[in-house]
Amino acid sequence: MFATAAIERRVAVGFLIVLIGVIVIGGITLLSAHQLTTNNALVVHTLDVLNELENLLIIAIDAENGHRGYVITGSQEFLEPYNIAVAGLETQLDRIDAMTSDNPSQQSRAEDLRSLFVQRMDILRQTIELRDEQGADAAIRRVATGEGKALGDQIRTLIADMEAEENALLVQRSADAESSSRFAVVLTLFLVGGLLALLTAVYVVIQRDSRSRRRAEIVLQDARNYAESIVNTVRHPLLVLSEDLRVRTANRAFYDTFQTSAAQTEGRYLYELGGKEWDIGPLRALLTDILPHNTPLEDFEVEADFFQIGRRVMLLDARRLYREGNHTTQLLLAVEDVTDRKQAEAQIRQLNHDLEARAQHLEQANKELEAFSYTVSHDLRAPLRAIDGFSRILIEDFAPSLDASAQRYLGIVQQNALQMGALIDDLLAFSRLNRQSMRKQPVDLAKLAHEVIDALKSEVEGEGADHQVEFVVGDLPVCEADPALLRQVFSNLFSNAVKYSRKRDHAVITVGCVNDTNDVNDANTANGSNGKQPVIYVKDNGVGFDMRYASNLFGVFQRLHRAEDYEGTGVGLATVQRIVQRHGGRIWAEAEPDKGATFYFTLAENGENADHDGNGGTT
Amino acid sequence: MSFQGNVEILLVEDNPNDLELALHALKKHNLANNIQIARDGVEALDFLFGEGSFEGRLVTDTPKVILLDLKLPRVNGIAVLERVKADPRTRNIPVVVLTSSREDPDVATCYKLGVNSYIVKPVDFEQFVKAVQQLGLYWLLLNQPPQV
Repeated sequence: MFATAAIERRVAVGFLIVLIGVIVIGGITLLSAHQLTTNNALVVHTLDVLNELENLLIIAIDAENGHRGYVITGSQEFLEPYNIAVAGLETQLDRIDAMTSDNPSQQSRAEDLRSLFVQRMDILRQTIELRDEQGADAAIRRVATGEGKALGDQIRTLIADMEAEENALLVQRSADAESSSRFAVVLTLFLVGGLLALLTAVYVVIQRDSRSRRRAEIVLQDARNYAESIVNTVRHPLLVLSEDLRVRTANRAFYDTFQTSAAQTEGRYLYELGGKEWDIGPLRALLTDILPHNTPLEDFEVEADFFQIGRRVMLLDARRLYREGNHTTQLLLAVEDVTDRKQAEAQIRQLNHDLEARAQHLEQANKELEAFSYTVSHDLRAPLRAIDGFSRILIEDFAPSLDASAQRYLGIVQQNALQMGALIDDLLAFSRLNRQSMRKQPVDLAKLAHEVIDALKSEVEGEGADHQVEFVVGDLPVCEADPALLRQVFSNLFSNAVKYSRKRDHAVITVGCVNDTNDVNDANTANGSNGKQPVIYVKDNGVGFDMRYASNLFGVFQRLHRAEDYEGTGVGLATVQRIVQRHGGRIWAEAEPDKGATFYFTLAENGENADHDGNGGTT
Repeated sequence: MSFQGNVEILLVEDNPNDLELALHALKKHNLANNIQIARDGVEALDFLFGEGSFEGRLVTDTPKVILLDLKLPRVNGIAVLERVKADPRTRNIPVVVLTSSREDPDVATCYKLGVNSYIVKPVDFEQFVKAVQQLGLYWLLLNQPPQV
């Protein structure tokens, strides 16, 4: 992973920096040690030079003292130090010469010293020879010239100069040595400090990295556990296959479903599992195809006799899995046992098929019913027409030859034929209601009510009614409805109201609307009404009826009054109810014998016609 | 089948009772003289187009009105109506459909085909008069000069 690589690189860089730091410190320490040694060697050398200069001075003094003693005493014994000095002088001068070879000024002084010593030794030797040849006095005179002493003084001065120079050098070199050693200490301290800081930094980085790595490992482990728990919780069997379709792992659902174990599954080829029921050519080809082309396998159906569990239908889905960790490609194979679902589907298909057959049957029955209705309307009516028509001819054309009771009987025959014709008409109209398609559109109920009332009034007047009928139309909404069907509703309800109030001297028929069904004292309103949908009512002050028989009100051919009191076929209210129901509404009534009746109806269950603020007042 | 040149009403009806009742209603008002009766669709068409037993009859010698029952043997009333309304020579003859019910869905079909009016059977004279009035044939059919 990228993060790991970054951490490793950071640690490597840190260590490299520390390594370079150590090398630099080592080099600097070595260099300063070397510098220290060099400076110390120079100090020692200077001390050596000073020492040798002292020795030279001693030689000079020994030579003079020896010579002086010999001059005074003439004793060979005194000449001994002089001889030693002369013998060592040349060597000592050479030594000093060599030792000062690095210093030009000292070198030239050394040259001068050498020539001074040559002259001085010449004088000493001449004085000694003078003592030997001419005696002490001559020699003393010679000394007394001061020539020798001057040379001796010059030598001493020169040596003192050289010593002063060397002493100055000594001071200089000591200071150099000290400063370079101090510098080395400071530098070392500084570098060690830096190194420590660097090491600390590297330590912190490593520490942090290792902590984050530990955290990453925890996350990874967590993810692995999570994935594992998912895989084991999934109710579908899952298989992880290697590239050669060998089972790497399977989940619990797989073992449960196929009633097998890890031992019988892991490491085996897919097509060798169980009773080789997985050995399906096309499946193998498809699975092999997934690896190079990454084409997912979806909904591959396998129906086979599975080892242990019998004939099942399995639905397979497969995906390629690329494992970053070890750069391998694997296959995830998900299995779903759809046997039950398939069975259920087949059952549903069968049910659908049955339903379709039944629907066809029903359609057939409907068609037969229609044909039957047609037959009824045409063929059943033909004999009725004959009965009615010829009865009428008898009454109209042969009245003189018929006595009163014969005429009355013929009248009854004719009336019954007409009644049966009306029954057939109503019944046909009622049965057609269910088949007729609805054409809903906004209908102004008030306008419709007025139209129906006008038609009814002219009819009533045509019959020469002897009682007064007053219609009151309250506020009525505009509703989504089939206008022709709704006209039928009003027509039936109004003519009923007229019919059952014709014994009133002053019949009042009110049509209106209430919005709140709670205003309406009706046992049926509790279910489904939301209290906001308009409720249309038609109220009369006629004979009413006994509420005990209200349940028969809307049944076909059900009547609450005797035919000789109020004519009718018993289809009108059934038709009204059917129309209201087809609009999604309800109808109910309340009445009391001799105190009038009120019919209520709604047109839609969900109050979609609520575009009205009607408060059903009378006008 | 006998026929005269001045047929005024073609009555197409197969049911003998209905036929008799219709004729009775018309006869009572002296309208039965110039009535041609056809008992099925084929006969009606033969008469109108001068075919079959009416071979040689002029198509242009049209009746003033056709009273047409819908439920007829062989060729039904709808088919007769279609042919009459499709032919330019007969298209303008007013056709009144005789129906057994006001609710008959066939009536709507007939209106689509161009029928002019309908009468609910049995054909009583009042209804016939109403239909004739609608067609504007009133004077032509009912107020004809007294028969010589």
